[in-house]
Amino acid sequence: MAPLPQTGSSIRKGANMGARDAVVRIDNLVKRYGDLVAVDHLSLSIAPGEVFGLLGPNGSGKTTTINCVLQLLSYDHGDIQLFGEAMRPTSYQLKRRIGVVPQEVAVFDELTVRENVDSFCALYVGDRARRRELVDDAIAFVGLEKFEGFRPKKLSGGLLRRLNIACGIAHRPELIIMDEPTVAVDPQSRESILSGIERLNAEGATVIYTSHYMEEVERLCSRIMIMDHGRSVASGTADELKGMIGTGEKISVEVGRMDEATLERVRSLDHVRTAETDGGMLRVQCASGAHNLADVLGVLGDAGLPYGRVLSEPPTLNDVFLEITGRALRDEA
Amino acid sequence: MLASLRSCVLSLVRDKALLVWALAFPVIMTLIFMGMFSGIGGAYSAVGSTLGVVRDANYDAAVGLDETIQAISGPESSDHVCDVTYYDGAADAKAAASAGDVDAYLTVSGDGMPQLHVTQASVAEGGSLPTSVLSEVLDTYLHTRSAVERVAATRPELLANGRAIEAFTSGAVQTVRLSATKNPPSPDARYYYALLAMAAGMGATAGMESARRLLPTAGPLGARQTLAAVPRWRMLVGALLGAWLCEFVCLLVAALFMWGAAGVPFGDNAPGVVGAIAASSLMACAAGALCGTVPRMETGMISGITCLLSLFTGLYGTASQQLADSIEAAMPVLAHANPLWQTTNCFYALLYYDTPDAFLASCAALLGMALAFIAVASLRMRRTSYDHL
Amino acid sequence: MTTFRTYLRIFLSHRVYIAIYLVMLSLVGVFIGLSASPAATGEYQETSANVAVIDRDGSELSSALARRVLAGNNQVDVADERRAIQDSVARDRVSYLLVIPRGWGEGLMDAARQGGKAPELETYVSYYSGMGRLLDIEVTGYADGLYGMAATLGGGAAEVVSATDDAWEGSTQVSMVEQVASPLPASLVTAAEFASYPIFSSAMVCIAVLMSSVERRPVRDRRLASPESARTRNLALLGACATIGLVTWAWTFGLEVLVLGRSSLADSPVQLALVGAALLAYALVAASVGFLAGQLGVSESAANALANILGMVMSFLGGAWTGLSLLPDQLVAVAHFTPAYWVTRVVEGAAGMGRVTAKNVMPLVGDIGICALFGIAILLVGLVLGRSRGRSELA
Repeated sequence: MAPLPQTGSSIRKGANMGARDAVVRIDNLVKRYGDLVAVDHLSLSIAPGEVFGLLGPNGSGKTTTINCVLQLLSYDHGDIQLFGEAMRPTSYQLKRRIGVVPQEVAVFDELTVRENVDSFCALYVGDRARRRELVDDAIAFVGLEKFEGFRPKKLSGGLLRRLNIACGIAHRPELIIMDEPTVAVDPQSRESILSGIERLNAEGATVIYTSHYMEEVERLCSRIMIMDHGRSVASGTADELKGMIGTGEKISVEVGRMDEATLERVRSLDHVRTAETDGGMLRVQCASGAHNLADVLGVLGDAGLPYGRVLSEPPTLNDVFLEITGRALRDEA
Repeated sequence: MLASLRSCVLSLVRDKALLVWALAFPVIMTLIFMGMFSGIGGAYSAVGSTLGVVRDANYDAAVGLDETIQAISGPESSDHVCDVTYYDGAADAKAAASAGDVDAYLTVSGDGMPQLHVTQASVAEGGSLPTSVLSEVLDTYLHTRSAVERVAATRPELLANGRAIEAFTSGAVQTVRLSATKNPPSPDARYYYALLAMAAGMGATAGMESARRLLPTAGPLGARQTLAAVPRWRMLVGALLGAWLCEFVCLLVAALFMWGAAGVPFGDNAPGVVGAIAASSLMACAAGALCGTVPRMETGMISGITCLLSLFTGLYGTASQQLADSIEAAMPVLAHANPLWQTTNCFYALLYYDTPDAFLASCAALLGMALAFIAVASLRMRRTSYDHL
Repeated sequence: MTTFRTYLRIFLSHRVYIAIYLVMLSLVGVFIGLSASPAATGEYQETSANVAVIDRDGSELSSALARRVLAGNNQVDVADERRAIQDSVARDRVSYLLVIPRGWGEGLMDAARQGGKAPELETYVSYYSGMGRLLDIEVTGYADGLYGMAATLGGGAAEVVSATDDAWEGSTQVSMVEQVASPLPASLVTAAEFASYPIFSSAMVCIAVLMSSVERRPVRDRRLASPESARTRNLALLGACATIGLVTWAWTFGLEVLVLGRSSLADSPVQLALVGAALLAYALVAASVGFLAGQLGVSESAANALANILGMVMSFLGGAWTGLSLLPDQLVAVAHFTPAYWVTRVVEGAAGMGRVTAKNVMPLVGDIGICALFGIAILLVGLVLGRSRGRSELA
């Protein structure tokens, strides 16, 4: 990971990390649409080399935040710094170091794959020879060599998304912003996209990754911020987030009939928070603890109840979100 | 089928394109035409010009010429065809003509022959008709003078008692202008009819959009509709009826505006006019539907095609009308194959002919074209399948 | 690929659509030119009308009259039925239809002998009533001659006809005022006057097609997030619009010169250059209107509507379809505000130019300048709007 040049701007006292180091720094961002507050006093800071995840249901303000950072939207209040400098619509030098993969596929329908990548790369890189190399690399990176001469209309959804990415990263930006890049994508393409992002990060890029697929965010992101109603509701590493909540693992056991007494005994175990039966399944939610599964199965064994399949799920970010907000991540707001 | 009709009507009404083409466009152009046509009438009736007359010895020697000139230039005269300015010499008159003060100037040669000199500019501007009128007047003078001289040669006493001249100049023979058509021929009306035809043609985009939405290749919307448990031809007919209804109403309103605000004559046959509008809008929607089944066709191309076809209905001014008429005279089949021409002809027939057969023939042609278009469109739709790559 | 080249690539990828539109509209102009009088405008051509005669009398006198009126005009045969007459007149297939009633010849001879009025001749005219007046003069002139001969010299019908025909020899000599400059062909002038509509429409439509692709929200956002400055972006767009304007001008004007006025390249280069320059200025006006529409974010179908309607209105107001002399005065006042008016002035001025002198040419150059000023003004508005659109609100 190559060290990033120090840009030497103002140091904010009391920040979590040295302001000089932060690639992205947002302070108290507010964006209103009339009475609706889309982004509500959001602050965050992203260090170089991080893959920073923005997670939240639809309408939580993720894309609005991104658009404010990119200066595509004006905002009512707040401070945005990139690479230590204030970000303005005319900060062309800063823009040169950013790559954008927007939520909607942003390519020209009339141009081929190669022409599209070339056209957008040309907005960042003037030198033709260098650009040709970059375009070749980008197309190879996303695996579209066989489709170079194709127009977007002929590409499937997954290939289109890959093209979308190639257009955003061809110029080797230091900061890559990806807004839900795997929406409506087949599993093969999704896997290729995710591993591609891991490679980019390994080569030194800082990535902001927004999604509402928590599995991806958990896999890729070194730090995660969960947003809801324009606010940050939780932030930290995945483990830190899971540690914030009481929920530990969830145990599901296939049982036949279960009497109330046994159920009560399960409930009275240490670390068991709730236990319910649900159509032949016993579902137990536990707080953190090392022996939860053994304890539950022990109770069942003592009661002489036969059981079938047993499933134990570690806590997910959805659990985090559910506990904090009372809603599932995938619910519509 | 009713369902697709309903959804078609709703989406067309909310999408402003049809309203623009079938309603706003003819209304705007009607307003423009209204302003223009006090002048356009002149294109067909104007024969006036400005004439410079060189009043020298030769001119005075020409018997009766001055009276003739007075007769055609007198402001109160019923035979007024020009305004006259007198000059003393040819050089003055020529200078005035070159400067554009007069359109032409008249000199008389030594042997009494009138000579007309006309400027390039006046011909470029007003055409050759005014000059032809002037030369015709002078010819009549010349011939009358020659006739009187002949008479005087054999019967000089008639010249002396003035009867010779009187016999030739009393205007004994008159023409009476009759009207063959139900209404007097009006140059304006044709422009308005051509405009209505063009509006109908432009409205074909409605038919095109409706049909295109039904195609599976049109995207998710089309694919969804293709999955419906209704055969495609029924959906097409439903969509077509919806488009037809919308375009018909728009054109009807436009025609009402023309009749009410611009006073365009439509004859007195209101049901006929409604029928003509119905037939032409049906034809247009069907044509649009057919275009919609052609994958590479875009809606803008319809306006290009309509513009070209409108040339042959005489929309674009006097030259275009002459072109349309000459094609109709020389190659009538070609002219009749133009659906916009048939539309214009419907209204024309209603205005001018006593008998309805020309009108009915054009309506039948329009309906025939519509049916043909629909048939081909349905056939094409059956064959289109979802083909991604 | 720079932004300018990207725009051109996108524009070119729609070439089928553009070709159809551009070619079709330019053909309209060419056809109109072809239908105009084919005369080299250096010679005077007497107007000849389409004339039909229905002779119900069949006498010597009526035949002589029919012969006279048909000579020098285009004879059209029309059956003596109401419907045929209606048809021919309603469509201007015949501009003038003369019906000589039964017994006219006899009636004329009798009236001449007694000094009374001759029976009337029936005429029908099409909406081209000007032609009607011309032919009335011809008909009544000759008929009066027959009457006069019958009244003075007397004799039988044959003698009257022959005497009248003798007198009716010769005609006024009509010549053109001497032209120093060789004038442009009338067909080219007509086509050039009309060319403002195809040039404007096709330029606008082409630009609309480009804008609809380039201004799609996701693509626009990506471009706005890039280090490309608003100035570069606008200049590239401007360059593309100007190129499109240039292409439409070159095609339309080039086609018209090729088909209608090749001779004028050698014979009347100055007038041709003036006409070409005027149309070029108008094409650039169209390009700037397209640029402005693009900056305002007008949708493709709206731009299409604008192209046709605005194009037609401006051309009409500019007198391009009927000639400036036929515009009513109030409308002329309004027309001064349309660039097409100034273009038509240049075309008519070049067509009527008697002598190529600085005095004649400079006012036309001034008119071209005024037309260009329209374009520059619209362009400036577009540039200003483009600057303030560096950041925009999502709806």
